[in-house]
Amino acid sequence: MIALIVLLVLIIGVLYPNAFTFIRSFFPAGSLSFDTYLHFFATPSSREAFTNSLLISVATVILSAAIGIPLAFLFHRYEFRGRSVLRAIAAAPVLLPPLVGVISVLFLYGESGVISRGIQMAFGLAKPWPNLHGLSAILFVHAYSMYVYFLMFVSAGLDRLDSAMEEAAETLGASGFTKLTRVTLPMLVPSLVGASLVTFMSSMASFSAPYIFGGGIRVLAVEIFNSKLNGNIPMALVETVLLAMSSLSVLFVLRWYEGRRKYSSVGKGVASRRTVITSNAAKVVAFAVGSIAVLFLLLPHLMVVVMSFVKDGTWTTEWLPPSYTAENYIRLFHDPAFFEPIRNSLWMSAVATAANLVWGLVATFWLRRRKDNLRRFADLLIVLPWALPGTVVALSMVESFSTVLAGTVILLPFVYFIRNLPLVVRAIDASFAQIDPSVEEAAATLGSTTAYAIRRIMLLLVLPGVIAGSLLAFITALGEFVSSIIVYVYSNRPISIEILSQLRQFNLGTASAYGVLLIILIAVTLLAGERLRSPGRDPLVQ
Amino acid sequence: MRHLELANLSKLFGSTRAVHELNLHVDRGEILSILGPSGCGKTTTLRMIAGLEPPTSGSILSNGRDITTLPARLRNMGMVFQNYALFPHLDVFENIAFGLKTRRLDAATVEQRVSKALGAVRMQEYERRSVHQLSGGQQQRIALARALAIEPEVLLLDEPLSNLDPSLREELRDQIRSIIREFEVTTVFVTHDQQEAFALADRVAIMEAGICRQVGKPAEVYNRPADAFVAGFLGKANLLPGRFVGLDDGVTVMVRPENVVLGKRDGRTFEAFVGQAVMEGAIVQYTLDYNGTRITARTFHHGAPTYQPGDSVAISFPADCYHVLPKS
Repeated sequence: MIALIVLLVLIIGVLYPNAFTFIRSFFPAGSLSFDTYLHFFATPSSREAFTNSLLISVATVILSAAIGIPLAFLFHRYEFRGRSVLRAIAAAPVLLPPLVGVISVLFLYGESGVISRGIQMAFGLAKPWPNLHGLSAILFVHAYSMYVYFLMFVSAGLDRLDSAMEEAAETLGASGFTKLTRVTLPMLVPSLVGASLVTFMSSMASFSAPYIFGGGIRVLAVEIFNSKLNGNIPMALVETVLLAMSSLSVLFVLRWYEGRRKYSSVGKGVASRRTVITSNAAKVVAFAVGSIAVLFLLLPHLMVVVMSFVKDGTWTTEWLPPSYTAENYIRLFHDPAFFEPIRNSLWMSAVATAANLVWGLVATFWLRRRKDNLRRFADLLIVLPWALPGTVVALSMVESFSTVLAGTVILLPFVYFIRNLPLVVRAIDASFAQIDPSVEEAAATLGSTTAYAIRRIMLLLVLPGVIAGSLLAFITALGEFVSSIIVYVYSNRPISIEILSQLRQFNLGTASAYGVLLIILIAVTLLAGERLRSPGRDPLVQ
Repeated sequence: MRHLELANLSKLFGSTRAVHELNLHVDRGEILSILGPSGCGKTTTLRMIAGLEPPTSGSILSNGRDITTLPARLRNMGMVFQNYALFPHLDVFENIAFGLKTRRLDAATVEQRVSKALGAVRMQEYERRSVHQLSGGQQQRIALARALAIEPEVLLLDEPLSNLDPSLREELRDQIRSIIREFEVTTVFVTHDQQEAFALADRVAIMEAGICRQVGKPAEVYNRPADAFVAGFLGKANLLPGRFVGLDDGVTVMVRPENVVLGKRDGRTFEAFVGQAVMEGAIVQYTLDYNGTRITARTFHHGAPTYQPGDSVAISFPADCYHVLPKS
């Protein structure tokens, strides 16, 4: 019975839409035909979108690695003033909801951006600089937001790295360079592979940056949206299949590579000590670089805040916005038409997250007792919405449910639910994995029935993971843009869609006020999560 | 001939004194063990010799040359780490060859030295194995082979046997001993296990709280400990209050439990009561009471404890088996 419900959700929400899209892409007019595929590859602009998506993703991986890896080493190996503050702020891009980050970069570094104009004025240039647009803007936004993956993965890898490995290399005569290239980096391969994978797939899936900055740059994710908008559904399906396939094939290639060798150290490890920066010159340099980095990292957040106080329609050719007001915020909460998107986002995220929570708990309880093909099947379906770009998930669902759910307010929360399944299941799974199986056995030997044991012991122990996963799902849904733009109807338009429409009307202040609200909601949710989790955490968890 | 010499070596971590004014030397081909409880500074000492930890003050000399500030990679010290630190992404051959390749030796020499090292630890057939496929004892031997392959100036072993099953320890201990003898390499090894230190070392240095308490041959430090700490750390010891006849100052006399003679009335004897008799297998351990002073005695038995709790027994200490501790 439980198995049936768990599987039914996966089959309806994941298997059916994707299978539908895949099969339907070969039946554009009811009968088997490869015409749409042939047409796609015969059209130069489509081919260009495909190669652009791939090239931008490769470039994003390289850029993010170039920023994230050295930073991870810096934070891990050296102790300097402000290290922990900088370390925390380095993750700041994560706090920016996708669309908000993009518009903020536009306000800062775009043609009429504050920084671009400021530099133009300061150096007396003929044109604004850096004047980010098109490819440069897309890559900038990608590198800014995705280097965090490299920073986090490599930091975690360095934490696990046994310092004795490097010391052993030293005693065997290895120089700093040999140590790095022959010992440290090879041992970090799983982290590097993981970070590259996530960065590449996020970049393939990236919609906001190319959509806003697009210029002449076509990418697959945006092409899908455009095809759908133009009513060319067969082409949208083909593009969806191609985008899905490229993401999945990268996933499989990297997973396979990672599985080939073992990298974990064989003995138990000792963490390395940080080198304290002692020379005064180095201290000054570290502090200066650190301060600039903090400013750079927080500038987009700061810019949205500043913009949220700008009176709509007043900022045109000036370097800085000329007039400020609080009315954007007042309007947000007093005008029902402006408050509606906020209410929509809140209820849809809450409903989706509640469903994630219930389904996630039931599914993990049921799944972890099984070790058969059914489980592998369920696992595969659970991971799919994570591996697939948001555009793919949304388009598959909207097309496959076109006769039942499409056009209703229920479809968007359902899409949120499906997209966040992997997140919640993984978080709950991780807490289960940490529990010593003997805890459950101990409950049994003490005479509790299985149901009682599960209720009292297991639920209590997985609580941290459940909370963490749910909160993450909630904030992800709150700022969601990529699939919302495909699925929303007017009566359930979420905050992100409203930001976009305000932006279109050049109401930059109102759009930014929504952005700030999102950032605050996300930050508060994360802080509340930390609070809930910290007291008495891991009481029995090994 | 002095191969390695530590002179007034000190190490401070912040305000914590890890090693204090340490003076030690190791002769060529000698095996020195640094023995002490955890946190006594023995591993820090070893790491300073390896060049992994800069000393706060003092100096380290190798062959009379000051190497105090020489980086680890130029010291040519072969170190075996407590957790072996085998490179998990390299196989057995590549692990052992690592130090040879950093020395830019030609392929043939590398090959020949690796097989010599593998032969020494009797693991030739494991050349192409992944280190994950090895048992703890095998990993230990590969770590040893890796350190020996570079033909080190001094071989450094950090608690080499502590991560192994007790049943394996003795066997590996003897293997290590014969391998070290075969290579005739000067060795310093660190341990908290007194038996291990005695079985492997020519000389033992006992450290506590960063200070070297005593250095000497195993029998010397066991029978003639410099102070109460050394006496107690190297095994059970009865520390008895005593006095030289004719002198007023009290002294402490150490008698090892196995040297307490029971039931023989020759020479000077005392009457004591048996408090406990614990059968430990090959021996019986008695806890005796003499006028409120507790004395431990360990003797072989003939099937069962000779004395029972409550019995009165004559005890004596043979003249050459007690040691008067110097006044501290």
